[in-house]
Amino acid sequence: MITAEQAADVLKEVATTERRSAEAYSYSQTAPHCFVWGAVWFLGYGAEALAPIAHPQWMWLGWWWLALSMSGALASTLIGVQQGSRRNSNAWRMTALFAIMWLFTLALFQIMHARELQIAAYFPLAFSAIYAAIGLWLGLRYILVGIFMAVSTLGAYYFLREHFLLWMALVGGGSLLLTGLWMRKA
Amino acid sequence: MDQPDNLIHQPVRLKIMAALKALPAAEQIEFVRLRKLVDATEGNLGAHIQTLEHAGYVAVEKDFAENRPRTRVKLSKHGRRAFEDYTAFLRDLIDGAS
Repeated sequence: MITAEQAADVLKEVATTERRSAEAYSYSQTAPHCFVWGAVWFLGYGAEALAPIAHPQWMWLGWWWLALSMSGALASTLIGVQQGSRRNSNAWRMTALFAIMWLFTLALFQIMHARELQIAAYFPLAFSAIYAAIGLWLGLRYILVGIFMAVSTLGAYYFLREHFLLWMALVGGGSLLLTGLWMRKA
Repeated sequence: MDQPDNLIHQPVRLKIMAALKALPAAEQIEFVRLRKLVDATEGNLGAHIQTLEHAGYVAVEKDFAENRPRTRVKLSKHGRRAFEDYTAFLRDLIDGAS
């Protein structure tokens, strides 16, 4: 027969293992999305850094970003569908989330009259906030990634303005790819 | 129930069951990942999984992924219920003592 104290210790052990398992599972589910968006950032910011921001190129870059982000959204949705089909969840929420974020962002840019670099800094800062927020529920790694992304984006925005886009391609995109590896190994 | 389920009460098997219980229903976990969570040796973990499999608490699937053998484990419905009964037993024990 076990005592109440022993039972409490066992339940504590159960809770700790469940939390660690849930965190590891969440990291493994997030990793492929990090690979997708790391590649999108690398290609998007990289092209923007290499092409001078003049009016003719700006149009072209707009389409390039649109194509990249649509491809990223599609890839993330397919990954979500594949992950969702295994656990029988509603993967359509992922698509709806992207649509909501897109509409919100477009509206925001319109009313704030955002310029090129502000637009370029917006997405990493928005992702930083999202990562840090979900980290409050899902695990410390999300918070650390969010903080790193926010600090590196703001640092480059204020102190490396001339190389901001290249910085975002290499450090922003690269850190997302490394985050994917880090989460996959969790 | 006046005794905890001895199959689950063993420390390593308890961790295995808790780790699997935290996943969505029918979701599998790879042996390597489970080993890291449970902090057991390969042989030890394999033996305990076999015990749980014989009891019908977990289901084991072996296949090949990228030309490498892969073992995945998931909690069965029977196992989930047994684990819930086990934790309920412990809670009742604590409530009864207070």
